[in-house]
Amino acid sequence: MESIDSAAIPMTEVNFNNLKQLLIKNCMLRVSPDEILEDTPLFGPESLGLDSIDALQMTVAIEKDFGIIINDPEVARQAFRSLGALKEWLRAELEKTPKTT
Amino acid sequence: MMSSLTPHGKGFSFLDTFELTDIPQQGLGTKWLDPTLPFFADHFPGKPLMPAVLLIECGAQTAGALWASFQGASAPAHYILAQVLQFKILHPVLPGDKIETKVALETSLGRLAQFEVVLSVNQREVAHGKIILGMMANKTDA
Repeated sequence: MESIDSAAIPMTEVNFNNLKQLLIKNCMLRVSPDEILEDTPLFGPESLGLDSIDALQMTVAIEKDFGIIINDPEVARQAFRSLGALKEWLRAELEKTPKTT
Repeated sequence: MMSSLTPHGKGFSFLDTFELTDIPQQGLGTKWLDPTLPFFADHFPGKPLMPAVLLIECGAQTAGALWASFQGASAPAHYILAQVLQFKILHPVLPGDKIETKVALETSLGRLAQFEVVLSVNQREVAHGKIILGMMANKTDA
């Protein structure tokens, strides 16, 4: 049984289109991809209607694609406000991450 | 030693034993399938077969025991199956088989946790998948 920790971590570029694809692939969206804009809220009123299970799936996908672990619900709440917010948050986190070879 | 490993009634318990493994965040459960279990009579008459949904339930109960062990629960915790992400049934499971269920916590966030589940009989993998459990909001664990 392979754990996530030992999985290969491909370095995906942090941009809106990649994050949009990650969202579409991992969450059970009920909207057209065309409706997903950078500042569209992911949760709450007037949002894409994501729920807590979708949030968990996003944390799994982000760990797999970017090697960044999110296990604090408050951090997730801030990072997952919108794809734009997630992009900025991820870029800041990757800046902090030491580069390994 | 707690009297039951899960909060389920005896007729819906799919976990006879549970232990943590040497690998962090993993556990191993077993369930012997008594041929007199009621569902075997009708699934299917004359050709009894463990229903696939109950294999998933087996994984969910074992994952629940693993999660409870991390939280130091003194009584079986109440978790619910929130999502079956994927599950593949590889071989039939029959009356009298002893299922070994390996579970691994992959990640958790708040009241949700995702697990990888592998079920085997006689060291042959019979099913595997990924599930998400949720903590019940208004039930206490202790």
